[in-house]
Amino acid sequence: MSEELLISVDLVSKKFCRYLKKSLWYGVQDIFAEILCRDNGGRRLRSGEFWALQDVSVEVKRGEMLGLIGQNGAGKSTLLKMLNGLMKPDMGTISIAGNVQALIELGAGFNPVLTGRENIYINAAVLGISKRKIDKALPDIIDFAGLEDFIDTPVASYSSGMKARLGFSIATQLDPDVLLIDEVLAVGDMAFQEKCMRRMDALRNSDKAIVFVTHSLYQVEALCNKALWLDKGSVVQYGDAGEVVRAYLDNQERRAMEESRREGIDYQGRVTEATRAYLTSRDNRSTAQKTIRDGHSVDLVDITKVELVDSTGEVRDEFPFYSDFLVRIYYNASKPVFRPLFNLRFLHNGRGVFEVSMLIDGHGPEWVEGAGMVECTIPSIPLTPKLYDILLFVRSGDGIADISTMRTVANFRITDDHLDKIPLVGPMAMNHIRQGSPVYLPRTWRFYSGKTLIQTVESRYHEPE
Amino acid sequence: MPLRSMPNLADMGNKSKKYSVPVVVYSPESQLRRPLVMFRSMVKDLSVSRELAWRLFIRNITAQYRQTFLGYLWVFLPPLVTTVTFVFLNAQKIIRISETEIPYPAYVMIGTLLWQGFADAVLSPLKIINQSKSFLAKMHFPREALIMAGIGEVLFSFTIRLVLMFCVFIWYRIPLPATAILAPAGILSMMALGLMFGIVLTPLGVLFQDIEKGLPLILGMWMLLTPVVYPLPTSWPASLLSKLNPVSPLLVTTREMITTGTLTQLHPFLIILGVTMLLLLLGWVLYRLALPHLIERLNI
Repeated sequence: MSEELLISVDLVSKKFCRYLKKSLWYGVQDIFAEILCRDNGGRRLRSGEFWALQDVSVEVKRGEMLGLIGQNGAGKSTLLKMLNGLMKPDMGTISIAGNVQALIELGAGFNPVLTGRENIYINAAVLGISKRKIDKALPDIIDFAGLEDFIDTPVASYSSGMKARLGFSIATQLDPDVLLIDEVLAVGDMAFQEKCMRRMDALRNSDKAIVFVTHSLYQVEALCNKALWLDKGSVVQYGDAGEVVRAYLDNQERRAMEESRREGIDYQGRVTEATRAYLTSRDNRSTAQKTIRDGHSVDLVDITKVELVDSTGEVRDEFPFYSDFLVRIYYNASKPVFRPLFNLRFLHNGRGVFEVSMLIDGHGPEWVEGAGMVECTIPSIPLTPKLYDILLFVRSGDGIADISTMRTVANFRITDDHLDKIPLVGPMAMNHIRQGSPVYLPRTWRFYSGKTLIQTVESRYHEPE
Repeated sequence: MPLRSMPNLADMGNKSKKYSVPVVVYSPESQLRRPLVMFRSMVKDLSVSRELAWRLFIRNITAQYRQTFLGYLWVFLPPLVTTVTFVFLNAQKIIRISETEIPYPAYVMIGTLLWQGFADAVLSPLKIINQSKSFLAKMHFPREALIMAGIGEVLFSFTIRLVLMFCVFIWYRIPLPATAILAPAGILSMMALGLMFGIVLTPLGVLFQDIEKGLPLILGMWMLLTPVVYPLPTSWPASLLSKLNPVSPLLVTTREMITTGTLTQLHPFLIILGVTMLLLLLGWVLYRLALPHLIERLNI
């Protein structure tokens, strides 16, 4: 029974048209083709058309949950709508077994002037459910939505969260074989989201097949056993949810890094022309203020280049997890500078993660002049796989004045290489290590019963062989 | 289970042996290639539509006039205004209308009420589909329910307007002939004809708003070309109106059923009714075939 295949999508493709007028005209053509039993061009794209989905194949059995992930416009909702029979595939076949419930958009079927109760009956009728069945399910629906006090007031007075609760409650209480859920859970409060996740988990465990579009990768990792990653209509990866989520996160970071490159910092951490212009104009303003305040002139030390170097001595912008990390700062001091203090602040998403600072560690050489270089080594950098920026600033020997404008000089990425050298066994391990805290610290958990140690949970890095 | 072993379209709606539940298959193939399967699912959808159509109907009529000051008075206004206009024009001899067998105001009132039933039916499918766009784009339900709910609204408005008709009959003491029993059939035929036009125009009308904008215009003209406010002309070329205009025989016959009792247009009436029913069935097929293509282009 539980091996029964409920959803089978076989090499399905769908074309969309970019331009409204053309799209309408193609609509007329398609309807005629349908009447005349001609095919609609198959693989051929008409002018202005593109593949909204191309050659997608998935299978969902009873007791499975498939998560659809991807950027906006990747084709997730299109696939869901085709599964629900709202649109026809242009190529390929979709087979769905059993009674399907879909929650494509919240409150799509709600009429604002009618009460919650009246809307439940209408929605149920839309889903083809008999009045007798709905009468029986009604108390559960109201109870799950938590709307006892509002069920007889018009839906117009509901908040979006309340509509979300009612919609989800109706779709899930009516015992479908297949449940299709678009990104609708983002609306509710945390408590309701948790309730929904529990409900979906329970449904899956009771032998339903669920397809689920979300931007929350936590939900995919925690709930789904399979995931499909779509990008611009094509399948990037399909398989075990944990694996797909990992690859997806990896890709997202890479993209984010490329983007920040394009915006400002070029490959070797040098500032591009546009950014330099921006920084100069910004710096001019703050320089004027600083000069007045503390009498020091800014940028006595000019940073010419910053390199990030890995343990093999190679300049890189990607580093394995928990590996040795070296920052090389090339500078040029136009005048002799007395005991400059270098500071590196590591940022993730604009927020400081940690700082390595000579303000703590103490002075270097007494006088620095002309071109030079300073290196800073951080062994086994304890950062989790994410994107990081490095902010550099140089202070005067007394620590009071900035003698080089604080600016982002480099960005880098910790990859998930060697991530398997720490135990990742928790239920949300992959998401949490990647999206949670930026710093990884080795730790040990010890459980006691009375004074006896009953179990130890240890997490630390084991050197790769 | 290998992918290829999924049952194909031929098994649609059947309980496959491998499955504990019925299987539906969506493929690019035209449904017309399997007419029997399509016909069966049409009948099935029609029967499961009833509950939903009823709910939608109730919803629409309760919500329809809630935000108006005059409320249900809006149902009476169009035929009343038309009647008053033509009675005035005729009384002032601005237009000359040949002698009618019953008092002219009653004649106009009956004509406009019947015409209104036809016109409502023409506008109904497109109106209800445009109202339900977001509903259609996001929920899967038997699409027949919308049309049925639309018919319900047309019938509802017509029934309310019957009050006007009764008033006219009582006021002018017009005796009802025995053929009045057939009147519902006549009225339903007119609505069926209207619905047929409405459904056939729906696919184009959803894609291009020209249809929705143009329809009231065309209907306004069409009404003047139909013997609604004047008796059927008998001299050529005006008599062509009754030959070429399919509404004429239906309207004239229905009016005769409740007034004179002599049915002068029975033959054309029956022919048009037969053709209407056939085209209505084809329109229904077209509607089913077109909807998925329309939905993906609804831009919601």
